[in-house]
Amino acid sequence: MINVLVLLFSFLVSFLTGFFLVRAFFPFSPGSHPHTRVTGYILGIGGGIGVSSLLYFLSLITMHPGPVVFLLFELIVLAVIFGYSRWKKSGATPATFPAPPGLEKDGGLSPVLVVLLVCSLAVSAGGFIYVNIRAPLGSWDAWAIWNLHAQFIVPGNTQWASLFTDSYLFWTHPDYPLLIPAFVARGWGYMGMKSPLVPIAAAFFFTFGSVGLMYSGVSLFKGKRNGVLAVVFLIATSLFIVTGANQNADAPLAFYILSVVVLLALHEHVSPSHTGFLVLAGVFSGFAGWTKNEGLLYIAAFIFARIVFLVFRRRRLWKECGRELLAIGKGLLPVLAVVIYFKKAIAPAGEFFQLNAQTMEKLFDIDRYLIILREFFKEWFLGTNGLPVILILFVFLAGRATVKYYKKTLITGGLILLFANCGLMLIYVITPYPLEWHLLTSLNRLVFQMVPALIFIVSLAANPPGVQPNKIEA
Amino acid sequence: MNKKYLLLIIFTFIFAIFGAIRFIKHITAYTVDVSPYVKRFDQIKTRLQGVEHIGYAQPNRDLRTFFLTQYALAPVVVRNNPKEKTVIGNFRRSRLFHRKKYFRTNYNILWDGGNGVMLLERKDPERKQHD
Repeated sequence: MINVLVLLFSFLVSFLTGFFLVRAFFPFSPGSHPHTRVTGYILGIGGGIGVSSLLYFLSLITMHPGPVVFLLFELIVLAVIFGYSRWKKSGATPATFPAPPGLEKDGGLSPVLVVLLVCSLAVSAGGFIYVNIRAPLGSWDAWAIWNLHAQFIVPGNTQWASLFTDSYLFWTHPDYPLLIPAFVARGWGYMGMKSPLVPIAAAFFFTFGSVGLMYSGVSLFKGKRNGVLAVVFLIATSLFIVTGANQNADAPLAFYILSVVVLLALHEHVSPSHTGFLVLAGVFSGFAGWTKNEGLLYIAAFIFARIVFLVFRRRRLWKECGRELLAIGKGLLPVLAVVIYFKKAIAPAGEFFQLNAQTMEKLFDIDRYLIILREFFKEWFLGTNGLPVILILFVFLAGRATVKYYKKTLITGGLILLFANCGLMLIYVITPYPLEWHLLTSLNRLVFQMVPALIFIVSLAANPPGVQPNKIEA
Repeated sequence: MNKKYLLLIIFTFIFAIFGAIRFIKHITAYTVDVSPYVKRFDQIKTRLQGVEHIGYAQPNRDLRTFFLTQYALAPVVVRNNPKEKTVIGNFRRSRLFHRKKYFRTNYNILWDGGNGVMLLERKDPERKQHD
């Protein structure tokens, strides 16, 4: 029992760190609209997990302290972030979310939508609990990669570096980033035991945190009806809850990608001079890179998409581009610096990006491209239970009068997903593994990572069916 | 409620029901609990205190059982190499060790957990010295 209380306390420390970090750049208060506050809290928890994970890794490579010393370290960092957020907040004006022209009032939820939402949540929560009672150690990737890495970097193991240096362990991909392993190892350190509760708790947050962020994020802009529909689409998409429950790192990555898109939307539709959301988007994109190797691709896709979008705008082009990239960099660079250090100084080289004659041959093999395109198409349309079709129907039936108003977010978000898909396809082109095997064993999870962001973007494009969203004050 | 909204709700319901069916089918068919397998190694783990790495030997090429053994014994590094000085023997049953000539000939049993998990020492006088 004491172990569980200590674990809960460690989660509280992590949450408060993330909460104050988010609040420094996203000024909401107890008086803000509930959707604003929920968005802030969820981003705070996700941010806290990222910060705690980074702190644990930094302590591992420097002092390798015991839990008590590490707790002191975390509390000092919490105090610093708290002080920073108070200093930033003084003088900051609350963010305002103006409603799109012509749409004013948020309608209530019809009984049908309430039933749909409750049933979806019940089935997903029940399924999550079932999976984790039946298989508390998670799926293959959980025990062969993420939780295995956590076992090596747990406090007290002075030979932690063998994970990255012993060639007999290269099958477990020690080049993979450490957000989940470090957070799990941190929890185990506080508990004094390797309990499955820690990875299960992390999996629960990233799965249902994505659901909550989807609801609050969409509802902020389009009202509760679109929020509920977006949540139902997300839960009903094949394997979303399963992948989360299996303790893979795909759910955390999906959460951070969704967070970036939500923060982009917040930036576009609050005062343009308020760059706090862009700083946070940079931070959360950094966390994506700290979660999985694909996260680095999403960082590149995010920055490239933003540059491409800004280049095609007309007014004050270079000044605005520079200001935005500076803001994104302010949030991204501290996290990215740790990721780069990990990749360069700790982790062994990955199996990809080895330029040789074979790679060049693959790059010019048209058949590979055709196979990959076919499989991507199949996975996006069939693997997701036909999600693109239902999203198209959603926009068609609900109407799209507000597309023009949300154009900026739609374009940037769409470009991020487009560039990410292109990047992933290229990775499959040059993969050193047998192509069909690699597609079969990984493509569904890669598509899954992008699903929440896609649903959010499309939900912005669709009118709230018969609804007029409130003018929301933060 | 207008017609388009009604149609949207109907399509959403169909999508949700289809998703729920597929979800339930998946979790009931593919959720596999590996914790009983991992628990087999609880006793031998206490005998590996202070050991940094150890070899591994099993009578087949099943990589999954090797990966699970590594998970069970981490942070001890389990090297998938039967020629190490000391190895973890992983059998379905302990008596399989005695039935397999290769193992009888090449290893002494240091410890037998009774459940197929053993600590073995290689007999080979030119056995590999690990650093």
